Amino acid sequence: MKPILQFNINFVVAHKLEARPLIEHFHLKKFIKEPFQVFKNESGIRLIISGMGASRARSAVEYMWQLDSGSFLKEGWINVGIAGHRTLDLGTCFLANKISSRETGEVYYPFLDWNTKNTEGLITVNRPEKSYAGDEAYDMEAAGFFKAVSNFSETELISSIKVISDNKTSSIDNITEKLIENLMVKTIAYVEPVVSVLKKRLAILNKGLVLDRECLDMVKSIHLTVSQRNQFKSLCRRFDAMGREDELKFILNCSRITSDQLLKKLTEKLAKQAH
Amino acid sequence: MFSAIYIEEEIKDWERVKKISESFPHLPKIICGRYGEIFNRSNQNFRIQKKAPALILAKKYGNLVLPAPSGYGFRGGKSFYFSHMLNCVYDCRYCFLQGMYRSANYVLFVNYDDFRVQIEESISSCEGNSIYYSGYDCDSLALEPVSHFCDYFLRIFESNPTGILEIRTKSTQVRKLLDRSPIPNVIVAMSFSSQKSSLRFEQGVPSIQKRVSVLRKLQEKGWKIAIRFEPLIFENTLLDNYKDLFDQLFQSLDVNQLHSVSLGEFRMPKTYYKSIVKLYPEEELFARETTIENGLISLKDTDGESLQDIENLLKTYVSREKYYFCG
Repeated sequence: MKPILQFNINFVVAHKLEARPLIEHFHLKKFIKEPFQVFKNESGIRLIISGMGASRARSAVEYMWQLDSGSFLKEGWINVGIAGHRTLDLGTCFLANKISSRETGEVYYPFLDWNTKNTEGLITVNRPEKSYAGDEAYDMEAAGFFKAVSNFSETELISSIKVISDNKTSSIDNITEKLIENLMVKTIAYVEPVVSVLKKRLAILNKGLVLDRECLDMVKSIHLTVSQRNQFKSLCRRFDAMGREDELKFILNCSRITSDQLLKKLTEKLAKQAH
Repeated sequence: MFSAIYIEEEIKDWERVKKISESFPHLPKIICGRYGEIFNRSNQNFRIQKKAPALILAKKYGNLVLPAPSGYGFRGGKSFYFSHMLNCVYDCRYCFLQGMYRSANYVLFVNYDDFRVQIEESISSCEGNSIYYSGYDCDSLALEPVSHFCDYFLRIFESNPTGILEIRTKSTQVRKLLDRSPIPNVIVAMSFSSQKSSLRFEQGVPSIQKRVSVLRKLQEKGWKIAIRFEPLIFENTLLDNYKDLFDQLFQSLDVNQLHSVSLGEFRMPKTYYKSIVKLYPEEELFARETTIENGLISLKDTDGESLQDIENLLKTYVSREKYYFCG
């Protein structure tokens, strides 16, 4: 079976200014203009500009998800953007280790890898936060993003990376377009390892799904009920796990066979096993 | 050792929590409400998490001491188990915990005093001896440097001699046991699979040689030790592989001083098994023929009599009185 080595990783970014360094770094080309601007490259990196706020982030995720309604593969999701914090220096990058929505009270805990440097709690607010109470950082999208992606994806495939753009001594009013671009360039060093880790996780999680699809494609002419499809996939996975791919391929290539005959044949052949 | 430490808000100022937390100054510390927010949420992948598990420090409520599942353990009184921890630091491919929990994070319940109260109540409520298994949902000793399980729980049983504690483990972290005098009603039970199975399925588990070596030291020190041959996984040359293992073990230990020796096959609830198969679709172990009995899945014994053969062989090394089948 041929492995599919490329899986999609989707960036969700609030503003074009925040997106620009990522678009340049990953050589992304715009392929959708409306209702959201969406960019992509040839290696599965995609970026959607959501607009500001949790609800827009949520809508952008759902839009991106629907773009792939025909896909059977799992994808990685990364929200990148600016955030405020009481004391952290401007340009400090971090991964969110806890995301809370001030509006709904909902809390999300992104999965952290070994040696994850710089993690912070993040509170998503509806309006720019100027009092910087507490030790957490503040943004306007992460909770909406995380909630939407969690509906269809494993937590281990979702990350939120932020860079500090304002703090107690440099208020949100000092943020300029140039500053945003300069700050976002700093996130690239954080984004790269996250992308790399997500790709590895996607390879593990999608392996079985790729096999299912390849096997189903080989017996397209045979009508399988939902229950037969599940049984078929399970049998094919067992052949693969036992290192009997060639035998499986040979059986699936047999023509003029009914679904019942196919399943019976696979089951009988599997029973002849050695450990 | 951990990717992060999650701490329940309610216990964040407890001395035990502070000590553990301070032992890992560079790890992110994240305050949560209840451990279930992280441990029980949906859309988690045990396999991915197992590559970088976090430690969750929590307080356990409700029944902390539960009746042991039927068929579990040896005879000698009413049987119970308690779990001060959920999940194991080792990564054994056959382990039922992978199918039982959604998360691979370690949960350490730090309200040891509540455990003590319930264990002592349970011991008092039983006429004669009662047995308490630790290590059903975790490895009791593997996280000893963090949990200090021995420091606390051994004292409970030392002062309650009618409560028999079995510490089930694959760990060689026995320093705390060797540094103190043995307790007659505490049994250290070490699990073994054949060398072939161990190398193939038990990632991170100390070698058989190292485990035998610590068992010998414990036995020499006067601790009661027990051997658990489980899970038995059918393989080519099974009998020869187990003969090698039995030779290695019983030549190193004083067989007459063993508390008990048991044998158990690979077995788990069907729902757990189905979850594990989804996690590891490419694993040959889960592609094998299985049989189902009373909702429990076990591997089909293709030779038909492997289990019986191993049992017969084992009985040539240990007396019938010391042997039991865990089923």
